[in-house]
Amino acid sequence: MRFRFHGRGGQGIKTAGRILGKAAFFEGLFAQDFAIYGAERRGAPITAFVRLSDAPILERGHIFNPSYVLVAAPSLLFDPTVKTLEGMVEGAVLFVNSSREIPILQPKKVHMIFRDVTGLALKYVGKDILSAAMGAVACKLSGTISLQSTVDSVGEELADLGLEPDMIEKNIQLAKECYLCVESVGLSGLSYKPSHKVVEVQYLGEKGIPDLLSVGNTAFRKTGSWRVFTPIIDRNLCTACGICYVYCPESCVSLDEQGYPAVDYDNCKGCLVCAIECPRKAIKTGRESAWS
Amino acid sequence: MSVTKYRTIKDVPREEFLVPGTPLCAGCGALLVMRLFHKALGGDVVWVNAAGCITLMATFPYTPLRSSWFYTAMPSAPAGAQGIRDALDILIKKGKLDPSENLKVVVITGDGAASDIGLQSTSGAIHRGLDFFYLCVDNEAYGNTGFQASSSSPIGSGTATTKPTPLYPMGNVLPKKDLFEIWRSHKPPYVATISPSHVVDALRKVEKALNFKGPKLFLALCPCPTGWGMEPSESVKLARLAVEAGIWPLKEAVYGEVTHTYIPLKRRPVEDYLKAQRRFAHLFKPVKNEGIIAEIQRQVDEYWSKVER
Ligand SMILES: Cc1ncc(C[n+]2csc(CCOP(=O)(O)OP(=O)(O)O)c2C)c(N)n1
Ligand code: SF4
Ligand code: SF4
Ligand code: SF4
Repeated sequence: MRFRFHGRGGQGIKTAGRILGKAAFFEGLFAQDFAIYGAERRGAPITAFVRLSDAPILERGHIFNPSYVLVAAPSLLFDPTVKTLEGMVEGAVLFVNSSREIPILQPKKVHMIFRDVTGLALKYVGKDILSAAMGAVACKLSGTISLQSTVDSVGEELADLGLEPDMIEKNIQLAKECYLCVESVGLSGLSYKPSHKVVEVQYLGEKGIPDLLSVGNTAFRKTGSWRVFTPIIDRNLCTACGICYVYCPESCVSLDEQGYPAVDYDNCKGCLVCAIECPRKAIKTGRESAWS
Repeated sequence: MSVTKYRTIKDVPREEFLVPGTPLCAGCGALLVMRLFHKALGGDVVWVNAAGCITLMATFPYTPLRSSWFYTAMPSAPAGAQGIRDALDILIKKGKLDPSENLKVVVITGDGAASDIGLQSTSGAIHRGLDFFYLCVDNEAYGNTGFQASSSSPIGSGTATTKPTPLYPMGNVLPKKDLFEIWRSHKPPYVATISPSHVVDALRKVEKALNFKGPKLFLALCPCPTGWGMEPSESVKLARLAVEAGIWPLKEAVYGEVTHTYIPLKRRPVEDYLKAQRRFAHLFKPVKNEGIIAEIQRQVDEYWSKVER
């Protein structure tokens, strides 16, 4: 079984992979887990990989043809640089952390499951950290890992990270709920073709060399997909004081001629510094839904 | 009284030199400092950057800058700045570069590069009187490689290399190096501390520094949500708390003469600042370490008792 997790820095995706790997190990399986961060930091897209087998695993490297893809941040589905659905074959399983179904243009028949585990995490833990939740969902989907092994693995992995016992207990409750919120999905008839892939470098110009002279080209990267929470400015409360503009680390707030602010949602990372600093509390925050 | 362009927050220049889309963490204090610093400097700038979090800002082939950027090895950003300064001067002298196209040379490094790995080359550049700006974005650890302790990490802080243990329950036992005093002892034209929370203060200091030829040094407290263990939204709030608690004094020194530019009249207890961050959580749980918290408070009180009002 090949699992690929997609999430954001800070959401606990790497730990979700570790939870799955260790739980499988408790079941007597062979497991391999690792993550890739790239150069980016908290909020940036992160991918974690897990391979499970009842025989020693000789395959190495990124997983390009996963049997299970678990997406912790639904906005990633629409981020062309992340390629969440890449290599999914007919019969594979796609889990998306979302309260509603998102139409996904997918030519092959993929088993799709949508659940709002962020909602559960906020309920049980009070934070949008999803390691226990996504790990438990993966354990259940696999159909080979018991609830007990899942809970044991969550407990051990989070203790290793130095979490307080009460936080571990809350995460175990969260893991149990998430384990119960999905059904196992078998992988009968799934066929694999080994893939040998070279990671592509994206070029900006057409000249065959990266266009280093186009100053300010990071705006094309659209870091708006990093958001979990979105700042929403209430024009009725806003006094055009400009504070949000001053304190946005990302240059994502601009002011119009009258001094009223507007947010560049294409790139706003949702740090919410603006919302905390606004003296009028005119910036509300909502769970991200801009991707829908 | 000198006249300043910056009286209120409304005077923050509108022009942006750093566009969105960097790969830095959401809520990064260092990015905010760099953005505001750039506004005060204007656009004719070449940044010289030693390896660190800020290096991530421009990951090939992308750059958020509308100005120029030069990347150096970790110890040698001031040497890189010297090379660029010399090249600009020579080109201008030979008539190959119009003086109107001259650039300000600005070093930007983390505290690790500034206070450990690059201190020697920095000291050399100040000693030689190099005409440059130096901005240290102090997140109080080696941020880019996973938040290991630097000599700028404060006592009592937990970092990747100073985790609290039974032998060292307070985490980091070494004092924070006083880079302001190290720089000041070289008697350069200008040294200042700034905070992203006190924006007008920071802009005025850059404005003042622009009047001097020679080394102009800035030490900025840069909250790091990832390493400090707080919500990205609280970056500016914590920087403000550091100033209000007296932990981060706002001051400047002109040719070695120190002035405090902001004196918190009623200082907040250091505890308010410490308990808001996971890197100090071990001072409060499982049992509150009153002794260490009191010692940190004592050091702050002692500092301010010597400041003339
Ligand atoms: C001589 C040298 N040692 C180690 C490194 C590896 N390295 C790259 S970035 C970094 C951390 C830099 O920390 P700091 O200067 O505090 O900047 P920050 O990342 O916190 O902004 C280290 C240790 C290096 N590039 N060069
Ligand atoms: S900080 Fe608040 S009141 Fe001020 S401009 Fe921004 S939204 Fe308006
Ligand atoms: S949440 Fe606010 S401060 Fe943060 S990037 Fe978005 S607009 Fe800027
Ligand atoms: S680790 Fe800290 S200093 Fe580095 S980019 Fe992230 S928030 Fe900024």
